[in-house]
Amino acid sequence: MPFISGARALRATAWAAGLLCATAWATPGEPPRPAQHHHHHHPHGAKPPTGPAAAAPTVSPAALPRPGDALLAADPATPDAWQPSALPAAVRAEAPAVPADLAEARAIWRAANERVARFPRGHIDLLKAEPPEPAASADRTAPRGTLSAADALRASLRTRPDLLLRPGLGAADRAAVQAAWAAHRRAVASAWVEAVSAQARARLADASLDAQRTGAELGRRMVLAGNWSEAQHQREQLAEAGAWTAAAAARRAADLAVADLGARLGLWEPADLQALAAQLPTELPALPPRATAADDSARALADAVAADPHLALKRQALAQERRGLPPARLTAWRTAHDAAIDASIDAARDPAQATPRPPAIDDTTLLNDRALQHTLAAEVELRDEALNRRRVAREAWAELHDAHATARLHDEVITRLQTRLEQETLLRYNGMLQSTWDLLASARERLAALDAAVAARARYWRAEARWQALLAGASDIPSVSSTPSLGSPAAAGGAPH
Amino acid sequence: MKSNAPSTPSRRRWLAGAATAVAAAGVSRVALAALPEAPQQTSADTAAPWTPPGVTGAGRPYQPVVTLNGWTLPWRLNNGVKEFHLVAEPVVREMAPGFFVNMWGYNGQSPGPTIEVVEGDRVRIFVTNRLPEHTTIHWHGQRLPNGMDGVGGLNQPQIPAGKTFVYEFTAQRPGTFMYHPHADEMVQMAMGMMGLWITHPRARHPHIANVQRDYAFLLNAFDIKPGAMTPQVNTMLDFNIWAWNSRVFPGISPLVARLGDRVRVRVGNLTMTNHPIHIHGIEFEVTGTDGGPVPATARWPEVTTDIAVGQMRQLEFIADEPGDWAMHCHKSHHTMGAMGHGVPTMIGVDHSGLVRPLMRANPDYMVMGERGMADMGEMQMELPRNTFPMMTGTGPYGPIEMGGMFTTLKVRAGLGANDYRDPGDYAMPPGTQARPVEVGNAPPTTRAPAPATPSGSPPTPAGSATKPAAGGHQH
Repeated sequence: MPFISGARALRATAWAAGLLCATAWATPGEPPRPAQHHHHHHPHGAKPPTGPAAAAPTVSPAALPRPGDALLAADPATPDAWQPSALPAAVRAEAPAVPADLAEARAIWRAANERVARFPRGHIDLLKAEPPEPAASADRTAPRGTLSAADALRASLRTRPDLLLRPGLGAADRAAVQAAWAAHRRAVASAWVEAVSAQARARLADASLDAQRTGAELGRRMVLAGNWSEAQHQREQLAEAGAWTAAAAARRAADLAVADLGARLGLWEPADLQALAAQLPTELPALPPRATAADDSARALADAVAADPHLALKRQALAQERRGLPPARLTAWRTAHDAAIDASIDAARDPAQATPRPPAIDDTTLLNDRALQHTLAAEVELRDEALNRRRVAREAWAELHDAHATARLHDEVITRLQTRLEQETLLRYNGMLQSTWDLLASARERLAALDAAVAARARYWRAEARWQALLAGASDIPSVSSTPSLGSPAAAGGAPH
Repeated sequence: MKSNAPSTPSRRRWLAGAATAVAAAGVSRVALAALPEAPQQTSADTAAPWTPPGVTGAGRPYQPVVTLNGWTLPWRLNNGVKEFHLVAEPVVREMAPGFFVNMWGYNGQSPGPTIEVVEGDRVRIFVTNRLPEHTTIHWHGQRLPNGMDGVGGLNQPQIPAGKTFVYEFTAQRPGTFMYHPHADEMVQMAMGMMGLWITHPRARHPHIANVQRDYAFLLNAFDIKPGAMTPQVNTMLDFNIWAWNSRVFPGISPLVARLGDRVRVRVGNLTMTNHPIHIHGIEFEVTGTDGGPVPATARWPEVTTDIAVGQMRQLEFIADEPGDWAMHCHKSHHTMGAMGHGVPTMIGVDHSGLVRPLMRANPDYMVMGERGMADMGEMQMELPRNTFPMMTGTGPYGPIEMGGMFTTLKVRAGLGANDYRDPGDYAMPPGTQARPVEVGNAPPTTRAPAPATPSGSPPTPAGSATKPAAGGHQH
């Protein structure tokens, strides 16, 4: 599909206002509204984006994927041509044949020497004899697209006519739409992050398998030439099997992540999902220099509290109730309540009393005062919700900063060190101080570091989407999670030689 | 190959030092400074031989030695005693061009300067310790009072850091000796602390010939991890830098001889293994050991002589065959630089179809080793910093593919008596060099097929290298 925005533009603008703000909306801080309602409204402290993001080029709406037809999707007669993406080529456990007798051993050894002598300049001649690398294939493993998170959100909203502000909505319904819309934004952004990162990680896992497979094949030839024992080759084969399982799992994870994003865009047909996979960029936006545009956590946390539409409504309601309640009634209640608590505690200390009992009030004038009781219940509910909102906001803020610092560590320290270590291993290989397999193992360590960096960056962008969702009025927000990296024990393999 | 002309600035400085010694000989002891000057050497080149002008101490004029990539320590005469000043200190030795190693040495270099005296000389050696730990000096092989033998704790207190001790004894017998610490000995020797001592005969000696060229060097070994600068001091056997006077090929000066010269080469071994020293092109005799000169009747011709740990061998030959002759330790891994002992043999391994996959994993990868390791000598590929390559050096006909304990004996007609400069590459007289022959492609090897039952076959061996094919145990 012809997209006008580039990954570079996306990277450059992502941080200015978050993943989702490179959209065409005039006020991305609130849900879309029908065209006839043009009055701008910034509910509950949500801020419109600033900076170049608002003017960033995006995919044209016509080029965005359109949701599949619901009737067709629900029709059992609709054929489902879906197939999981292909597994990596199988790993072989066969051992190379060893010579049966002296004559065969002599023939093999002489042939081995003659074969390598056919390339008298070694590397250069071998390279000339090899076919050039095929151009990057157009399959799932090499997407080249530029479909941004904001594009995905725009496409996804076509499936959610419920997320519209419309005339006649009461305050509570408006709040519900606001919260649901904010949660949807976050879900789509997270699904987009997951799909992009899962595809990137699948490519890294493929590259790691490729390196290990090359090592195993070279090991097989080492046995053929008589330079290695079968046992040495078997270790390489085992490492190849480990890399295979990691690559297969990564491909499956990428399939699932694309399907999840597709579902949020209303896509389910295999061709649509395949097209969606190809439209995604190859990498996540670069890490912004700071976790958030502003460092003022007190202000940010206050904004997150202010953005909750339900909380704001309940707060207004309680304030109104309080105003209607004579202060003496509230004072009387608190006095009676304190006395009841004291009596309960004192009674619990009395050894003669067998079963401790909760505090008790028998003043029916207080108990039957409906307005008072309603206010008290609303007060409890509001306090609980406010405290929970603050807890969630603090956790999301901390997670955002932690994820940023961690992703930065991966980008600026771990990946760089691992890359330098691989370069150093190459120099040691040049000096015949380390072997080809050491070099391949080092390449796989670098790939594992890149994989961990992608995972860390994905965690940051998910945390960022969570934080933006809070600021846009989403209610309860589970924390982000991360998936195991290539470097985890299950995915590791390839002992150094 | 690199020219190793004698180091002129050093020579100038020594001459100045010698002049001081001449002047000092005529003044009273009180007027002398408490300590003799401790000259420093900054160059790892071979210094010209040094004869003290006008003063030969207790001895007669002698043919001074040339220490390969080393120098002779000047002395001053103090009431008939030759006084030297050695300073034990941290140094950085350039073991080969661009290969720097942090060591401990004496007077600016490792090994320390050669001490040259004459049989019967009274010798006083001041030793200043500028190391961070105590040290001593043991005068390996010398006849001397027990208290001067230098074994810390046994013969003397250790020389603490920052302190100066003095050793004094008479050089009783002529020969080649070594000096090295006998305090934290393994560490201090692994760090390069050692030197040579030559005692020339006072008079004509029945078993010591006059020679025109007299070379001396020590064998020493280090374990320096690629990319590092300081030797591993706890290595016992797995050394990777095999050196002559803390230099490695192509950093070792050639031994230069005039056609027909009688040449002496004094070799001391302070490594932890033996070294079969081999000289191409001539036959030599071992004319002396640490124990003294060998009578002519006890010598025999050799082209290789093994020098065990802690031993010195004095080789002599007539340089009667012109050319550039290789001279090296015959343990072939001692003529190599650092190598990875875990790198497997790649000979005969077909890389077809794998080059591009390997380059996908690392774009700068290059296939090596599948036709042997000579690529290493030819391909100047980037190595870890400060790493001495496994094989290196280039001669007039291509890569020499050596390293470590290797240099050349250069025999030429028409050199000056004291000309030790590298005469350059030997010009082969026409028709005296191996050459290619044009016979087209190499003919296939003809090999008669092995008969099924060889006639005259050796008796069946009692054992087999492989286990029986089947059947298991038969009890």
